[in-house]
Amino acid sequence: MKTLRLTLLGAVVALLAACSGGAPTTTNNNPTQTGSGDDYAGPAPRDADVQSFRINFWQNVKAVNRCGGCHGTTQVPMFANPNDVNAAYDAILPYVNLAEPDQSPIVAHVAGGHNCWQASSLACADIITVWIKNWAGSAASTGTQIALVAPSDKAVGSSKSFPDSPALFQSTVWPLLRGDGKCLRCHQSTAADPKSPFFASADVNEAYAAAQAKMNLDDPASSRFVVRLREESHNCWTSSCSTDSDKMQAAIKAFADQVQATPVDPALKVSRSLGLTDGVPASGGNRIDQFAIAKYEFKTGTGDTVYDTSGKGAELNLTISGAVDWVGGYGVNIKTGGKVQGTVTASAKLADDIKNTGEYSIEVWAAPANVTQEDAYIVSYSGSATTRNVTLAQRAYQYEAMGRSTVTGPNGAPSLLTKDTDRDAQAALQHVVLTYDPINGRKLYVNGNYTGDVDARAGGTLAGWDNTFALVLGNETSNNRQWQGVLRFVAIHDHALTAAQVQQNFAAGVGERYFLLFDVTALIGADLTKPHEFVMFEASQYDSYSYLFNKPTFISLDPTYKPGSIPIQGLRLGINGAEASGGQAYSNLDVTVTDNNYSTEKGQLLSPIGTVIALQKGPALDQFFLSFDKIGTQTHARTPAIGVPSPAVDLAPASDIGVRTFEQLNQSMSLITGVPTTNTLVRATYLQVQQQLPPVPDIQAFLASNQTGVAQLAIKYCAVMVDTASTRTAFFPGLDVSAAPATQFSGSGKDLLLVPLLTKALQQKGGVDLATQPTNSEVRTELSALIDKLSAKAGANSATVAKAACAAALGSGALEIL
Amino acid sequence: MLDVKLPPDHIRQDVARSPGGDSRVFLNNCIGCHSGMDPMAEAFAYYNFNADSGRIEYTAGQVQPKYLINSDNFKPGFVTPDDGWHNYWRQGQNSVYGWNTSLPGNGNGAKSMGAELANSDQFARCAVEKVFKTVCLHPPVNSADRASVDSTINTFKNGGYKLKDVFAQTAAYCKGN
Repeated sequence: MKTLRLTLLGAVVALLAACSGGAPTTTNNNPTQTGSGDDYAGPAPRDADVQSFRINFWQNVKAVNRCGGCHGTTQVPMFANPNDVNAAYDAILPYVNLAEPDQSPIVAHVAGGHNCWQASSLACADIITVWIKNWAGSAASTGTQIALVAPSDKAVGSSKSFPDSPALFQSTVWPLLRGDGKCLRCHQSTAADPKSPFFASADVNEAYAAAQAKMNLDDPASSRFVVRLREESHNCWTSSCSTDSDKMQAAIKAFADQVQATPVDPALKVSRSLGLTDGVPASGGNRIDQFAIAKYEFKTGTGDTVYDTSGKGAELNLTISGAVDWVGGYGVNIKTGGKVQGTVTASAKLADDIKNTGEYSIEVWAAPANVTQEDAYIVSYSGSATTRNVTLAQRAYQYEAMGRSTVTGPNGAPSLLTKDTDRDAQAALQHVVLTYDPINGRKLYVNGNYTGDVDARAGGTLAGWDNTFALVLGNETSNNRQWQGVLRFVAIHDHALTAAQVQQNFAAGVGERYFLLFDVTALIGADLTKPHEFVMFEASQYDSYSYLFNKPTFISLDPTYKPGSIPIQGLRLGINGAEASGGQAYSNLDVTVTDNNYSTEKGQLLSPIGTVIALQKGPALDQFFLSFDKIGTQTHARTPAIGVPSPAVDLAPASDIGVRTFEQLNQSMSLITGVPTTNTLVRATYLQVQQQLPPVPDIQAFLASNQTGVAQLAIKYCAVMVDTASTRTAFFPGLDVSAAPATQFSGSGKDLLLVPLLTKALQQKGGVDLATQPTNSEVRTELSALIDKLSAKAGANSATVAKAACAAALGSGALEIL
Repeated sequence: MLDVKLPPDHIRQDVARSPGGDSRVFLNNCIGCHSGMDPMAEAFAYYNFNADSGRIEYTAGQVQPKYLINSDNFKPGFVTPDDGWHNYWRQGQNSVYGWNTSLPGNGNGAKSMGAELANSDQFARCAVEKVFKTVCLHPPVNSADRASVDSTINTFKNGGYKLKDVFAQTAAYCKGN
């Protein structure tokens, strides 16, 4: 055994003892009165520690429907003896660890199922832990020492690995990806809008390489392919995502069933193996909990009750309703329609206690599902959407505090909002604390730091707090203020936590962490008869889908150990017999453990960073190991992974022509007519129709509305050109606008208009036709017909006819098409 | 580009590993780009655009604060120490982009990182294919188009990377009648 000193060493000696026996778990009623001590008539506490035991522990356990029913006067140890508090004190000492209350034997015994008065043994264990902490007082909060113990020795087991050949994939999953699944519409490089990864590629080798990360051969149901369909409804190919996901799961299972479980690659240089709970609990974080009057750690993991483990007064347990899922690593995921709420009666202790102190704090560890939700209530103690005592809410990137006092409205308005541009709320796990005291009013802290937002309504008192409201998480009691996200911890305190206390609780973190000791003694050729050498990780379940591994450290349990010089390169995390497919943050590691850098107490840190790897079977089943490219004199040479170029594939034939875009049309018309783009008349029309003109050259994006805009612009350019003598003379040299059109444009007279238009607007010089636009004669025929038709109208004049012929040519496909 | 197998050791602290409480999003999507992108982004660690002055600022030896924001999103994430960059895309599936083997694949600052990108085969291909699409109004769709692109890439690389020549050669191919 070796102690790892995390902060300061505790002053109290741990008294560890085994506890055995006990009746099966039964659910007792909550005591209505845990004992005030007023009825105690026995001998006075003999010293201060017994007095602390009396008020913090004994009074809570001596009720007959808690421990007092048996351990009062009938069954040893009689630590709930109602007649002699000194005798009770002596009886409990072997079963508590005042330096590390959560490691107390009595806590382990209750957690193991011994007569909890709640439905959850874990809840009782946590409550008893709180009572012991309060008893120990400063002795339990001055520091923590972690005893590192070598785990039981386990070799790396076997699991299913992907075969090198894609043959099985080709006959099972690949046909579904490219067939009914229709994944090939996006997930291949030749798709019209290709989306990586290309697991539906026509090249089975490319598809197989991309698909491996999406399939779990040990548990096909947790394959990403299946989850995307079943839980996220990602492009299901029928109307039933459930059916589609079943089909995908069956295909992966067919693949997996033909793969034999293989032992770990014998070429790898691997450590010994262990599971998450084989590690040493890292209970180093010291929280400030003595002011907590309701606390939720979400440890139960099942059922519809969230237990209050504050240990203060009658428990304010909450009931889950609607779309709320338990989250691995402690927590609940609140989705649309979900909330977690307590009763009005049980919630009354909040108002009663907080009105007494005149202060409060709401503390949460929360991961908002997004940063777009508004009016989203994370924690609320209220009666409806318009009346409340206090609410902590999210408004997009802001956190919001609505707190009722004598200087605010009954709805806690005006609310305190964090500054929008600070973007304090993130879609990541955050520690958020709202405090209130009469001097400063409301203050918000995010991840241990005061946001700097000052309450404009400081002062006042909480005299108006209403004890007929209910505590609710993730919504309003009226169900119309939905918050979506993960809650991993919630506490209500009857004091305003100080900045230092907030920082301390943030530093303590959330969830259960372990020190995992991977035995590398044999790899480095050290003496197996002495205490072993390890690469130690701080590990935890990060959420329902991954583990966090942090700060790999080389350490020996032999206090006399000297590492000398041990090179360590290319460390990889393994899970269930194979290296994890992603998250290998230490594969570039290149460090040498030396006598100078190694300390007997702390070992040698190999890397300061952490990483997450995918969870496979769950924390109870997953077995981890480490592999090394080099450790000591052992080496494993890897072939660098290289990409496979996608084979060239013909795409659907594409158009060779496109259209001029808005600015090209404007410049072209100006150049042809000689009217500058700055002319006020054409400028006004251009600005008016600009957004109606083609924005991109793709001819498939050309719309009828584009043509209308082009026609409007062409008419304006032609009108200005004809109405202005200089440009008219330059464009139509022989045109007499005062002459009658029927006379001027009869017979060959039309050439006054046709020749300039054909040569200038259509660029068909010398009668040479382009294959991609109408021939010279075709255009001439169309324009001639137009000129004849307009000239024959009563009241027609030559200027109007010229403008019309010009616009017909200028606004035609000859100019638009590239 | 998405490669979820590259080491994520240079992904910064501000990148949430469990966005919205779901680490699958990180492990299947975010990591695929950030694992290669973030080690490259370190080249610009000393640069910042000052919106007030409208200028780019350079603070030699001092990492800009924007590289260190939202550090509590994932405290064990990477903390940028300097402007040293690494090209992780030289390994894995993105090695197909033809990185120049005469260059080391790492360095300090934007100049050497720019050289790393500009000397890749993919840079030339990207430029030529963009020109092809602009001039020909469609991407290369058949073997004739691809042959033209390959030929133009050679011209581009061997002719001193003159884009004008790329336009000329591509226009000659697509000029029609």
